[in-house]
Amino acid sequence: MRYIIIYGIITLMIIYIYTKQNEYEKFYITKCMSYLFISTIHSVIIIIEFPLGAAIMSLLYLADKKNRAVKSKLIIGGIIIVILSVLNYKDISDPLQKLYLNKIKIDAVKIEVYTNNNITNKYLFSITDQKDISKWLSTLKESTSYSSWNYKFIPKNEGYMLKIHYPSKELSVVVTKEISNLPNVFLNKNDIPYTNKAIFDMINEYFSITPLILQVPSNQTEITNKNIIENLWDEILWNNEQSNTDKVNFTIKSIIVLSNKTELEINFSNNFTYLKIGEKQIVKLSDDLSRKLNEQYILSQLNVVSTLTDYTPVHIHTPAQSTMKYSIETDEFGRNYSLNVTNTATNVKTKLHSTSSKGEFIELKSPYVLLYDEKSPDQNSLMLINQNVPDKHRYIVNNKRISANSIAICPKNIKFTYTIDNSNSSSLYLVNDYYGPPITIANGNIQDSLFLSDRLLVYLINSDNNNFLCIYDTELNRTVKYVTVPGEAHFIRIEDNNIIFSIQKKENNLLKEGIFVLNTSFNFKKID
Amino acid sequence: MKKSIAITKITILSVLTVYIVYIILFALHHFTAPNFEEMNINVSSNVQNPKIQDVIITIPKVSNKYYIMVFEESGANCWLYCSHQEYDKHRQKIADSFLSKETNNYILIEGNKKSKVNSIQVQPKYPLNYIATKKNTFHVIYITPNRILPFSPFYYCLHNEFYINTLN
Repeated sequence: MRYIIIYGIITLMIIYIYTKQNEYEKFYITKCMSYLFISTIHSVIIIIEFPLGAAIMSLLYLADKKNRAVKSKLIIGGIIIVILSVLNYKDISDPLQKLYLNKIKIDAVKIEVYTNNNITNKYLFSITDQKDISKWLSTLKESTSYSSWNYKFIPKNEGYMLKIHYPSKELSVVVTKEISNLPNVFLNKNDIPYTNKAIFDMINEYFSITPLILQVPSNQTEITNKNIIENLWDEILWNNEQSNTDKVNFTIKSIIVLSNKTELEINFSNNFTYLKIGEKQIVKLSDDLSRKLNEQYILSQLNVVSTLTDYTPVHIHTPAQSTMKYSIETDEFGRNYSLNVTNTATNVKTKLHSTSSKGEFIELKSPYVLLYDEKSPDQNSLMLINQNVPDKHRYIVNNKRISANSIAICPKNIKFTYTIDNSNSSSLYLVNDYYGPPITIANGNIQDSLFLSDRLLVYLINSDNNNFLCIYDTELNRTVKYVTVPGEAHFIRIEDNNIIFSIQKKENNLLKEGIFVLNTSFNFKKID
Repeated sequence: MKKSIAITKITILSVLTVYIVYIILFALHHFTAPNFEEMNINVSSNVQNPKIQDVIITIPKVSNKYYIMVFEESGANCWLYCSHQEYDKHRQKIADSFLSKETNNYILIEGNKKSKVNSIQVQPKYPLNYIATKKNTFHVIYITPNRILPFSPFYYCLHNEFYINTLN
């Protein structure tokens, strides 16, 4: 942009040379052009840009007697061109912005802190102690100017608005999280931008209120999941407020308990889509948080019981229908065990494979059967037998630690899962293809698995002291959902592609339990 | 001759005056800001390939041309941008103005008043822990150019953030 002005000045100077000659001078034009162009030469001397050419021509000017008026103006023109060439917007704006920062005086009376939002900035807290005020304002005054000639930032991301009160005026400052290359402090109504690495963390440290529990007194439900509660608190503070919500009914009355020993009353709509604080503040929650809150609300509805029920692990989904009857029997001497199959139509018994006394069988879709054997606690095997070709059996797993209770079969009796216990953790495997390798679904503290449908597998896993119920899609080959379980979950049974399970919890010397159902649409419901 | 020189001088002075007025008006942009409508950002898993996250950014009110730039937090470079493409010099220049040197991956979409809804796709480079609780933070900068004369525009920029959960 500045080069248009420079070329304009040069053109004006050239016209000036031709029109303002007062006296005859040999090589007048050449001399004047030299004055002009040499005066535009600059150099860096001791870090400062210095118009070296203008200085040299000024010395020559002292000895020059003719057309002095023209030549002096050419030297000045050269200096102006040097200034325009060297000067950046930053060189002008930085000192001005620093001066503007001086509007922040240390003798403020009070600092009020609000969330930075679009409709209503929510009041958070005030600082009235003079030492704290001085500390905050000194930190603010250390902000660095952020200069940009051709763009301006308007802060709309999560942040705070500070209102600095003086006896005769008020100053507002918006502070957002520090992001590389972008401004994070905006001064006054014009949003003059600065960067400051310390101020955002300082405000966070001061405003260290964290949510602890969400309570629903009407049914004595408590949601304690830290991740969900903290997300809820963030959305309460920083989500935009809504209008036009007259048709929304806020039926779930709850209380959020905060770390500073205060409580905030919140009313939620059905399915936790909206929340209301007081009469007017209405916030729409994100879809993800609404869904998680709704799930936690359902799964946290546990009843106080006198004893916790012991549930038998369930793994057979649907008994296979067949004329073949399997059994594990000893030989005539009562010593050796074997897996046999009897054709009830012909009454012919066939020995399939030898096994130990602890062997178990699980019928898959005909003609397959799964034989589990335990040679020692750490040496178990899982063998796939085709009853038509029993000598061509295949070991799925051999000499590993598998629990028979961990085996789960899909409704069509084709796919199955099992868990191998390693020294510190366990691994959950899926067998989809009888002649291919098993697929690893998850590693960790696997507690149980069960097929919700032929496609969907549900498993329970503990990670970092949190219990999760996860759903694995066997066609997509990935876990597609996880839900934090507020207690220990146990699968009870399967009914029509619904898993019935319980959640048990010990809390403050009380035993609590609830029974729930999960369907293939991933919805939870409490069963009374 | 004198007349033509005088005309030339007046012309140059007029152009310089207009240009200086333009620079002053340009500089005044720093003290004003348009009323931006809030962006609506919606994130969901792609139905065909759940590893890919579809991000729909809707601008409620658009007057003319705009840009949307999306990049991940602090140049971590842990995500692939499925709709990434080579950008022309002009868009490259816009990106260089805002991004730090560590940020190599970003998306810069150009839109106009007919295209209020913009969609991008991102995918994690490395397998994510499906029960991770850490937020994957992305930054969105909505840029609207403002021109007074046919020279370089002034850009108003609105900065926002969104998060991607590994499972939706």
